[in-house]
Amino acid sequence: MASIVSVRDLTKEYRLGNVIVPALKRVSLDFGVGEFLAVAGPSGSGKTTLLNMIGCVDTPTGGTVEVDGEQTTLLPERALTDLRLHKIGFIFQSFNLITVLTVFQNVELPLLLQRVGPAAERRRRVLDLLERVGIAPYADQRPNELSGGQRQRVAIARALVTGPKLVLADEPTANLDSVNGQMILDLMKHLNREKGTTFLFSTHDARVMANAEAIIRLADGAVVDRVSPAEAGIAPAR
Amino acid sequence: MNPDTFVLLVRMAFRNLFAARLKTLIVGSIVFAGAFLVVLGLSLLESVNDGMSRSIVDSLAGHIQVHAAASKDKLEIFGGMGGFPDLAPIPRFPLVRDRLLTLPNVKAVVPMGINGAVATSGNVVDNALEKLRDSVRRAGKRPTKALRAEIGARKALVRRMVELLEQDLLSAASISSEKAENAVTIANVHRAAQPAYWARFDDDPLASLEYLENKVAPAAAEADMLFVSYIGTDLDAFRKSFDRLEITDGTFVPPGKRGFLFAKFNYEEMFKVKIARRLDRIKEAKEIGGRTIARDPELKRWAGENVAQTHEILYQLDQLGAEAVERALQRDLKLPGLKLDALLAKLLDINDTNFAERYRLFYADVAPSIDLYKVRIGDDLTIKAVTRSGYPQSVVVKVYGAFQFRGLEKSALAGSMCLIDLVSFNELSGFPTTESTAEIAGMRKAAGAKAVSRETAEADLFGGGTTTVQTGHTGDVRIPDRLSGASSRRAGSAFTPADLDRASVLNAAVILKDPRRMSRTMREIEALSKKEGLGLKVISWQTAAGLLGQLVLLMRLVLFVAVGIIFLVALVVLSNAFVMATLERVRDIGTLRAVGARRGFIFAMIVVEAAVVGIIFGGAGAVAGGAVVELIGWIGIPAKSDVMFFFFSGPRLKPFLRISSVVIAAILVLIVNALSAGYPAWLAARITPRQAMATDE
Ligand SMILES: Nc1ncnc2c1ncn2[C@@H]1O[C@H](COP(=O)(O)OP(=O)(O)O)[C@@H](O)[C@H]1O
Ligand SMILES: [Mg+2]
Repeated sequence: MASIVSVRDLTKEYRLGNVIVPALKRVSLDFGVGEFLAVAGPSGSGKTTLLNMIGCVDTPTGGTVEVDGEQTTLLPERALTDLRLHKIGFIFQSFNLITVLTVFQNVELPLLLQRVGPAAERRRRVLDLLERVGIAPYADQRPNELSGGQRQRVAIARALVTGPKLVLADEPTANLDSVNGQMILDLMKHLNREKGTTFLFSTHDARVMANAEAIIRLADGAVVDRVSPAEAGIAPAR
Repeated sequence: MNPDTFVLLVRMAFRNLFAARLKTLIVGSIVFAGAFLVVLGLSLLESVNDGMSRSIVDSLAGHIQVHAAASKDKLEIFGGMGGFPDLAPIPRFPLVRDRLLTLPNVKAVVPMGINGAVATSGNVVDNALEKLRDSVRRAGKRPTKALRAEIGARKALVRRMVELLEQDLLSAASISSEKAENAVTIANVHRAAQPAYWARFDDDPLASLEYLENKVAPAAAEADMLFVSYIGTDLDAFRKSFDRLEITDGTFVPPGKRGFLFAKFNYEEMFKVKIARRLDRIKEAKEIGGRTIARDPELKRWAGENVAQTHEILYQLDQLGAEAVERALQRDLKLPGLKLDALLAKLLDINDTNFAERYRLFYADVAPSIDLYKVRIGDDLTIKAVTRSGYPQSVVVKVYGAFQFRGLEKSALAGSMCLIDLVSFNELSGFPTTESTAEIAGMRKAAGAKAVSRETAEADLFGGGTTTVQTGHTGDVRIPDRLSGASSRRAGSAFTPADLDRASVLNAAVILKDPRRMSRTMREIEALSKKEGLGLKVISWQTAAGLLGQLVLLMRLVLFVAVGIIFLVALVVLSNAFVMATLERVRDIGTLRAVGARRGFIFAMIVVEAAVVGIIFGGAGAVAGGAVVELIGWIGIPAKSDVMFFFFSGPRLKPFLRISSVVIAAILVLIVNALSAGYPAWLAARITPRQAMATDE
């Protein structure tokens, strides 16, 4: 299995006034293309920080991150932007949709940034994906007219529309009820199987972890272990 | 940038602006107001500038003025602070004119000279004496009863004038330092004011009249001197080139004749009976300015002065005239018992209700019996100037009429310069003229063996073609008498084209075919002058108009300062608003960055937003400003004072929209928007993807 992410001795410290808060302490881990992984740990264990480092949304204090063969710590700002645009799909915990754009336009946005043309081609891809995530009827509505589950689907569609190799999802179900949460996980699993897209999502919910192939457990900013749900004592979901 | 991305940016801008409607409206109204004011202000300024330039160019200056480079002073066509400019004559003017006319854009070259002098008329005392002499002559040895009555009435009028004159002289002497000089005059007048003088008048009426004409009338003339500014010019060329000139009274000076034309405004203002002039001005102020006697202190003052100064009219009326006016006023004011002075006071005691009626009565009952102007059209005018070499000089010219410039009727500035023929102007300035040269020659001969009358000398020179020549004039080669009415004599009334060509010219107006190419033509004239050694200094009408020309500059400055202030305020407010808008959207912008938008995209997003505000609201403001300009242009802004007439070049300013004003407004709005969006856009571009995780608060 080809490696897609390789993290070595990753350290991240936040500075809060004079206090230095260590969020990640020499974290090392690897995972391959097509994996469906969960990052688990209690609140404050460093899950978000880890995802941000891998997703090139933030820069580490020390160590290296390699995404699809690129040493992100060595890349200039613009290359990082392009890496985010072309290789990574990011799904935010609180969806982060652009409120002034419609569902369709939100999903089309990365394609426009990628300069995918012509408009008909973009339209086809966007509608196809909206269909897939089940919100095609809402294409012309604004995010604030949708429910939380629908919004998260839009966010997933936006993350997937460019066909990224790696999708990072920070607690994708935390703002959803359990029914909606399970539907989102099912959707992600489905896309993982169908397209071979690598998924890494964080959670502190055992029911969510149950969906993963493997669980990377974090505690106090360090990797505890990498286990299967069974090894973690969780009954695999369906 | 990809056109689709651009469309997305524009769409996002519209959406964002709509989402923040209130803020957009506030920012937009500032942009709107800025564009509106800039278009309106620029259009008005341009229109006033335009009106003023037309006033200056069309009345006296022409587009370009040339004068001798060797001159001491700068040319100021409307007179500067220090009086009239001292200019050297343009050498070989006819040649200069011919050379300038070879330039393609030059339509006409009008010779000029500007000066000012005191003018006296055949004054009221003269007129009264003339009438008295006429009566005496007609009466002969055996006067009829009617003629005796007429002589009595006219004598009484002259006597009253002499008494008033004595008072005037005494009060003038008390504030003057030249006591010794005036003493003789005062003594002469005093003698004629004595009852004894009038008791003996009939012993030898002709001798008595002579005394009055020679010793008393000049003193009155002296007391009645008025300052006139005039342009000496080739009158025909002037009329052809300044085609807004129109004759209001009398006629134009016939070709080849000497003559004087009053500027109508000046004529009304300086030469009209003051009471009548004040009535006219009150009427004008009420009708055009919308002022009232009740509330306007100036009108109230004028009305009061009229009541207090009825002697100005009484002075002019002999007994018969006085009786006629008295009867008419008794009838029309329905005050049968009242005396003339009381009636006049009553007539002139005006208010807003009775004004129209009293105005009509004045012109119906009083005006026909008096001379409304101190100098009548057709009278001779004696102009006394000091020549360039410092000698007093006087010339008598006939007043042919009065003129005004169409559209500038009410302007004191455009109506301040009278016109005089160039030959007379030359004499007044002391330049040697054909006539004075002839006179010298004549005098030389007269001083020699044979006496040659001046008439013969002139007839020789003029080829005998002129018949009205009465006598020569005082050239400054002869030391004339002191400045006094007695020394002036009638100048020859005609001249030849050759005289005109020989006359000295101080400056010349150059009229262009295409005024837009003025600066180019100025350079061409300069080049020509340099190449052919014409010795010309070339100035634009703006420069020639002196302070007036700078007024436009000043207005421009004021407008630019105002625009600058609007600009700065808009800049600060807009910049602030855009910064706020950026800070409120940190999360959105961070998200955009996280999903792969480059910094440039974010920067462009803010700039496009500002541009959309600028284009929509700025465009609306410019359109509204343009509409208001057109609306004002349609109605017109009425000129409420004489200065405004000059600025507006007519009774109403009709501003019109210029593309340049709109373009300038558009550029300003774009600059303001670009500058005010620049900093927030830069801020926005520095927002990191991590800030997508920022909370909404
Ligand atoms: N922006 C920040 N500034 C300071 N400390 C932070 C910041 N973000 C996270 N932390 C700290 O880093 C640690 C890891 O946080 P985080 O990665 O958000 O954990 P998790 O997502 O697992 O809850 C925590 O102690 C948290 O307080
Ligand atoms: Mg977290």
